[in-house]
Amino acid sequence: MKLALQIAFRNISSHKRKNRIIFAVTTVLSFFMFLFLAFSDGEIENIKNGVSSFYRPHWDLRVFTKEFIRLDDRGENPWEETILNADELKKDLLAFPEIKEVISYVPANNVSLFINGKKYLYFSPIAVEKNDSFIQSKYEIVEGNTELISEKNTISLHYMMKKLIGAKIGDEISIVGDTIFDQVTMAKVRVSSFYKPYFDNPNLASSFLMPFEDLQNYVGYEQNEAPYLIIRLQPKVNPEKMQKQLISWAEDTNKELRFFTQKTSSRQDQWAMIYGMIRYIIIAMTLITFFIAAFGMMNVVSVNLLERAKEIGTYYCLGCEKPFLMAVYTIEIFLVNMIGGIAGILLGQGARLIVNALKITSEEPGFQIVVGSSVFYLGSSLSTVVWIIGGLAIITILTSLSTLGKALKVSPVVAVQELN
Amino acid sequence: MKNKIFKTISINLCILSVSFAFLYGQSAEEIIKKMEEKMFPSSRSEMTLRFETKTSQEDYVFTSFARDTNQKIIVRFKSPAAMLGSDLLMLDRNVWLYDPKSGREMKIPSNQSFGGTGFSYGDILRLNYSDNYTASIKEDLGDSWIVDLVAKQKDAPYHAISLEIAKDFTPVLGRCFTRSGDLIKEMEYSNSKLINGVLKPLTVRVTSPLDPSEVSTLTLVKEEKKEYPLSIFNKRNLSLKMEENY
Repeated sequence: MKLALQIAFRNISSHKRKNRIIFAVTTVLSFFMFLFLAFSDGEIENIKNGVSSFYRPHWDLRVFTKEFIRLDDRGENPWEETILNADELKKDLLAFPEIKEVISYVPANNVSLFINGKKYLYFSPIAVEKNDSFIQSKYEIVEGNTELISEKNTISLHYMMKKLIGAKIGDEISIVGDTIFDQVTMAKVRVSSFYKPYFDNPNLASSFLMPFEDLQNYVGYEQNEAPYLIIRLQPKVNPEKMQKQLISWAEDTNKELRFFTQKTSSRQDQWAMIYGMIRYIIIAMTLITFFIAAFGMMNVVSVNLLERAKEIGTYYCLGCEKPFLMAVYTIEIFLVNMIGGIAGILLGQGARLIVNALKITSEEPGFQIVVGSSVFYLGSSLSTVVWIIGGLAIITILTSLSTLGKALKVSPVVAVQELN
Repeated sequence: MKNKIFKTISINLCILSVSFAFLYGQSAEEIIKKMEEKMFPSSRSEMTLRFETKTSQEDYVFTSFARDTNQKIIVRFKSPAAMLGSDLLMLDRNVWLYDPKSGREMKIPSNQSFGGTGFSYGDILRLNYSDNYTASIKEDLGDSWIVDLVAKQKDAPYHAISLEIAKDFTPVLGRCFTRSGDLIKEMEYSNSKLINGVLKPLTVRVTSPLDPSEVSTLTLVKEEKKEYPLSIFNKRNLSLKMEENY
């Protein structure tokens, strides 16, 4: 094997010109594949930092009552089974040094807004709790009261609403919808500010920010009551280990609670799932392109090897056998492809850094849907590198299988034949 | 002696006020029950619903099959064509909608607007006040009572209803309030006519102070008293239509 590797390296350096073509093709291919997948990584990152962070704010652990989970598992409405002493429980949980934040969560149905005598359907309220640093890091106030959390009985509308529904600071709005228990509910509020998400998306345009206590009351919960709590851990704390610690703490203190990590939760992020599916489509498309290009590469390799018949004949004269030569040439193709692939990835990383530094943003809804938010961002992930390297490995195998069998059918006599 | 008389009077007054309160509370419940017996008998009813806005008008025609003073209801649509087959069932305070395309029943919020009209599914299917609300008399107006209805459970369609009921046990005006005390809907009963030997309002006009331009009118066209068996009030029957056999 060591000898095969040495010969492969020697062959690469002695056939620089021919291998340079394969190297160039592989580099270009993996560069473009990297950009495609980086685009997809960026979309997912944008969704995570944009829409998902508002509708499904980040959590490491979630705390439910056992009855909530029992009803949920049976497909019954669990929302009435709440944590009744949420504030006390939060204090108890925050006593753990590993826990950074504990937030109450309240769900909300779509609502209608009555503003200036007109009715607007399908708006979504988003609760902002005072100690929720995560959600507050996701937007800025662009007009009106600059406080990130609006005052009681006031809301912050998405900045696009100024143009879309003609809302103004101070406007009185009636929010009408139903509680989580399907009872008609209404809140009269005023517009105190307009917010702009850092990672905006058309799906956020109809969302408005409301103080947590107001939304809690609006959806039919009492103060100090929440269907579940969100726990965010300090950096580098393992959620699974913390989960075990909290389970034994709940047992010791006779608390009827259940704790879930991201891994054990059955509730999936719909947005991440949609863009995850788009990622698979992008991967499939790039792989198809990759394999089409592979035919061209096979042809180049095949011609290359045919031109090296004398060299192959010499190896036979020196006593090499076909399987050994198969290994030598497969290693050679693989090394050239890998070097090309790595060069393509490095070039792609460079391009990614340049594009991200340009901070391309747009308020166009079409742009935001395609890239996942208002910011054009190229991401990077281990899976992207694995896909490219994996694709190149498959191409190497296909090239070897399709070209070497024929190319190695050379008589040792060719080594001493005079070629024109 | 003085003390004894004072004590006796006090005890009697206490007993009297407790009995008075008890009777008063009882009578509010009774008023509601009598009104429901009159308004919602076990029956097969033909109804129309008109929804008008500034620019449009939509009409719905449906048949309802009810028992236990509206605690169990099946609603089958006759028009518009888009609603054919999308029948409804109210059972154990849950509202189920049958989707004829998938052949499945879906649980829907009773508060969901009925085809975009001023009525919600709950207004049509959960009109059983005694089951959902605790009643108390707020005022006696001479020829009618104002009865305050407060939701017994968090899932009643409205948090509170102020219902004016005439002394002949027919509703006159219903005003629905949210938990925050805001008026959300007004239901005006009119067009009193004899139906099955009972004089009762056949039309309910629903408006909302939030959007006065939208008016929904529900009219009882025909009512046939009928006792349907319990067995037909289940989800499976939304596709089987067993009530047609009775």
